[in-house]
Amino acid sequence: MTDVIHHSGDVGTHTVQKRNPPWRSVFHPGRLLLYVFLVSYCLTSVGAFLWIVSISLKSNPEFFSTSPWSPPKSPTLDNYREAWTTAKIGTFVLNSVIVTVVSVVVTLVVSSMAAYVLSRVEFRGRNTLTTFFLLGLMIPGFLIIVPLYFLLRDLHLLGSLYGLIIVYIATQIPFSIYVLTGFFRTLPQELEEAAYVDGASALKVFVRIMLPLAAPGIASVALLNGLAIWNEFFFALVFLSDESKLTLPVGLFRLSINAEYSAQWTPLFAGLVLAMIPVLIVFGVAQERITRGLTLGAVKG
Amino acid sequence: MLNRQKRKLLLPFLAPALLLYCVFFLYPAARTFHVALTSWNGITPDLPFVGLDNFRELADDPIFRGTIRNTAVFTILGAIVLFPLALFLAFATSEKVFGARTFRFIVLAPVALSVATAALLWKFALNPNFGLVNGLLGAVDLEEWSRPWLGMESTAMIAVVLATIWHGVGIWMIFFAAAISRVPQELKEAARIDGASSWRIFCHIVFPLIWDVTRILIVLWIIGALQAFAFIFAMTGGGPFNATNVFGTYLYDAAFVESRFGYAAAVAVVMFGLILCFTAIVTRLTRRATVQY
Repeated sequence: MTDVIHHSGDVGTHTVQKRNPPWRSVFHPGRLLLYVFLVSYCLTSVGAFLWIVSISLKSNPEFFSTSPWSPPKSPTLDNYREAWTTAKIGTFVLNSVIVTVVSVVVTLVVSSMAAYVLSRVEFRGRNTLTTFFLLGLMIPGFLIIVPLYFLLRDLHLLGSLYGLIIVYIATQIPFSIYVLTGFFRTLPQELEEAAYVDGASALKVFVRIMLPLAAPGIASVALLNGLAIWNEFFFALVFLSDESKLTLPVGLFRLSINAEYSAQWTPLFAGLVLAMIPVLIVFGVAQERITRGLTLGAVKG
Repeated sequence: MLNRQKRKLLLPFLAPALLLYCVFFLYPAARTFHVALTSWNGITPDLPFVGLDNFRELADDPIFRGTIRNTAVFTILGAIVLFPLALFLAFATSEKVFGARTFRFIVLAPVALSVATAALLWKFALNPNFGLVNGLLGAVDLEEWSRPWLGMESTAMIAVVLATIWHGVGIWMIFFAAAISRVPQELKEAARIDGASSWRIFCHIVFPLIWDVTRILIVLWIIGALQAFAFIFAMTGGGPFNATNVFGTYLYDAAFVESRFGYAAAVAVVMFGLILCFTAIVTRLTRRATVQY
């Protein structure tokens, strides 16, 4: 690895103005090694994904009779049909959509309101209160799981999607407030003041002026929270039990446990593909924003 | 006048967040410290106080001691693989490399997958009967290398670490890439004119300048690794023979398999204490004069 970078430097040593075009520098020996590494790393990822897709197109007998990496002989979508209905993937997806959408929306409403007040209104104890919210960034899920389990049980929210949603909202609040206060602080004062001079109410200023201005920050938070909740495993594993209430990650996990006994593997692969495709599409479309949001979140430690 | 208007919002705007946060986040966190001092089984209405008994039992439990060792192995092994890899990927794709965006996308894409999905993917790929890895080894005449990767004590931890890193390395690459992009271009150009190789530019210019970020990332990795759960739970369940049993899986079993909630809460308290300690220690150890640029 060290050699790779060492040699690749020679490309730039002769002249800074006249750069070699990228495609020509590929053939430089150092660059070549670098490419071999990058390409093989990426091929591993893509290969693993394609392997899952290929098996999801095989029938169960073919799966057991042929080599695991041979392409499907007669591709069939039966596994997808079975995964969606019999294996209840459809229910899991629906549950995940409900949980994610409701959690994200409520978190955003609640957090942006609090973040606005914490960043744009002067009052005594403001800094203390902000720190109080940020305390949550230091608290891991493990520290709350046991009492939370019994709190939900006593409120008859254990095993229900509502309980899970409430937990997701509560645990996403610190991060959302952290990012959103940072965002609200950067907004210009003038627009807000002008609206007040025109006689708008505080609520109206918030909804009509401040929220739209904060839209990029809100979108980043929504995406990051959405991904985190869509993929969340630990809380869902502990708090949900009834098969018709499972979210996708826990549902898939439960199916994989059952497959150990029933040997019905191929629908499970179809289920994995169904779980991967939507997030990969969202990710492909919003990569820039997610990347920026991730860098933003990095500072939180 | 402006502020008076806005102050009307104080209570209604703060109350919902504050209520949810306190009831469903802070209160359970605080209560864990109480539950940790009891032998509660979740059924009795009152919590039998046992003082520090749970912590004493933890200190004496050989399985828990193994858990500490496994968590340490996971953290260190992970760091050894993750940081050079993430730095390399970030630096390589920051250079003028053909297809850098595509590479970044493919490296980053697994991040979007659920941990459960990614864990199952690798669990299947490593399956001794139909797995991709053993299948490929057989295809290139290395059949004797094939083995039940997740079923052997010697390879299970490595497999879990590699799967975890495959899933998350993209984020760390992005963190490093963001840091590298803040290194002034003139410094690199100047060194290049003086004939420095990319490797030397990296060692003497880029790395010292991103050390502050690296330090924070190391702390973040340790904090995250101490809480490792989903990958291990989904891939090995802590097995074989506790070889991959870490804090998270140990706590889960104590609470939701054995119903020893007081004991599990004690594990959580130990974890939290360790997280705080490590954060403090590593931050101190790696602190040094910030390089201005």
